[in-house]
Amino acid sequence: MNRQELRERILYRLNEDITSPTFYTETIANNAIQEAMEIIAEEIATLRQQALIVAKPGRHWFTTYEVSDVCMTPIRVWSHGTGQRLLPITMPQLEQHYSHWITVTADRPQWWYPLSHDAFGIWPGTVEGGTVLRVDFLAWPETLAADSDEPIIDEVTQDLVILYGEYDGLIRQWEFERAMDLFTRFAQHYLDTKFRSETRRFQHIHMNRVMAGYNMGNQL
Amino acid sequence: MPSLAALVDDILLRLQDDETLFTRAEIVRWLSEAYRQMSHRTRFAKTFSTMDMPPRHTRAITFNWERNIGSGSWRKWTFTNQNDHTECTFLWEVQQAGGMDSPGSGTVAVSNLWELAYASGSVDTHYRFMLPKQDAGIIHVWHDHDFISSVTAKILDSTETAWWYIGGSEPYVWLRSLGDAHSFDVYGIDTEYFQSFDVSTMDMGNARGWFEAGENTDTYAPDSGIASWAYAYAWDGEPESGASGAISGVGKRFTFGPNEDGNYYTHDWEGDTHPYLEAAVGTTGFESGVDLEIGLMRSGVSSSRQYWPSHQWQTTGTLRQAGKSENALLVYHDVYAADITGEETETPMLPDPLRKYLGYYALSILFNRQGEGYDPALAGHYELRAARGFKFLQAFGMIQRADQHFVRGGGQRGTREPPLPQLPADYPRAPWLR
Repeated sequence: MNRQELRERILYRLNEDITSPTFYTETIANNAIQEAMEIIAEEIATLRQQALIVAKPGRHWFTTYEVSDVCMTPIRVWSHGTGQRLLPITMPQLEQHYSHWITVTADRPQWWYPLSHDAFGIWPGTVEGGTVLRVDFLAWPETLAADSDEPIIDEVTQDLVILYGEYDGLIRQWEFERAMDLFTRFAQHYLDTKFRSETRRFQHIHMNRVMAGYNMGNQL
Repeated sequence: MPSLAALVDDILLRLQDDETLFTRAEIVRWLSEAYRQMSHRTRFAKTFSTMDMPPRHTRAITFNWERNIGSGSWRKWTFTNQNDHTECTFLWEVQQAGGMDSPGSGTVAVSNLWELAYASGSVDTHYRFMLPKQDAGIIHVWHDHDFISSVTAKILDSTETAWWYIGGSEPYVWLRSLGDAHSFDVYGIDTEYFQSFDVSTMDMGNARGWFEAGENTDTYAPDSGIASWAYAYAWDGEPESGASGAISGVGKRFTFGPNEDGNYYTHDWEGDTHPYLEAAVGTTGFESGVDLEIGLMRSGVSSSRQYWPSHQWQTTGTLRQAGKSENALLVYHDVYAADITGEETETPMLPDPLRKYLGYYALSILFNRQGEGYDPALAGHYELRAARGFKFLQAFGMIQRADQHFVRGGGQRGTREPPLPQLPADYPRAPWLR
């Protein structure tokens, strides 16, 4: 479904005129669609993207704004040139490793660590020549700019967007009880979506273990 | 992303009010509180601050009441005595005022701590640093890149020494201050004075660059966001009178003049009425060796070090302070957001998609206000929505949570069972498991 189709379904459920709504305007409906996608992205954390950033010489720290405008939080960092994955670490562990860790620079960064909600660091820092980092990150949904734009989330989850839009319309009309019913259903649905996501992840991990054991058995 | 003004509009729509019951200014005040509370309670924002050793303060005060007037950081350099009636400079003055028969010789007294670099004799003081106004708690402190441990007053007390003026060494412990909020103490003081940077022409307006006090060995370049000239031109008015109309971008004039005859020229000998113009003129910045210095300085770049804006979320104004971590304190701390002062204010600390929670927080208060718009049910609902945002933000800073299997550390090492799906306790059981 594109944005127009989503909006029309929301307006239909709110008993509004689809072409010229009166109480619940198109702008409000569009904002509700965007907000629903954001909440789903926050709760389910399944939107993932990848970006390359240049680490200039002498750099240790980076902001997520350098990675992408839609970067919610980095989840994986690679040294792109060497194809080496940087292992996550915490700052106290860096302190334990070496008390002057801030001053260390090297050809190949080994670890990465969180610095703030919108910043992260690599260790050791880069030297002359710099390097390129590949950052996998959880992403916010892109803003739907036109009616023909389609949300990046799958169609099953798009139903939740309609549900949220209906809730949003009712809560604006102070229809508290009906709005609460819808919001509860919305929350329950995204838990289902979360369940699907977690199940897929579990299956993936489980299958990896099975395959790893199978291969190991062959070797033994 | 809607602006803050659009958020106010949306709040008024949800309140079904046309500014009769609730004014826009009131809504902005609650949005400001929401912004402050969200950032303070969840501690999602962290940054670095550098501080010169010995510490520098905006002003030295004599009396306690002076703290309440003026702005900036302060240091009270006197000893309060006799129930606030007397402020003494030296310890012997306290003894004298108290009627002791043979007052001691006392120690050195300084009004600013940097004076210790030039003082001799024992010092009856320690270093107290003032933190930025928006500080919400220290996480780490380094001195000259060496990690300094935190300590409690109870542990220091157990040493049975006059620990409040431990001197003559490198700093080795820090203590959340026994003084006012937003300050901390450092023990083991190094009285040698290191000034990190002078911000050039700071006393004459806006900073255009900085230099390192003492030695200027580091190379840097101002990072103004405009990396090159868009065009070159010969005479005033030329960019506006081009054949295709005005040219956009920032241009560089490659001529001198006009001279007394109204002419423009490219070399000094051409316009001998201007003997002070000696350099050859190039048509672009790199030819003439002129740095591009346009606009206000916001940050610096260097190939040998990283300049990190300690107020990276401040989107207005210019550079007012520059510090470095060598021979100085580097503090890593939580910070919370500055006030929202108007609908045109930005909320750079908060990612745009999370701005909706500011609105929910404001709505929870506005619907709860006694009067015509009072609706406890809606207030409670929006409070829950805002609380969900708080919870999300708390997890927001823990950016490794999605990568736990690779976290280095004792608890994560070795072979572990893969985690089971985490579901809430009230999630319905699958029917086949009944």
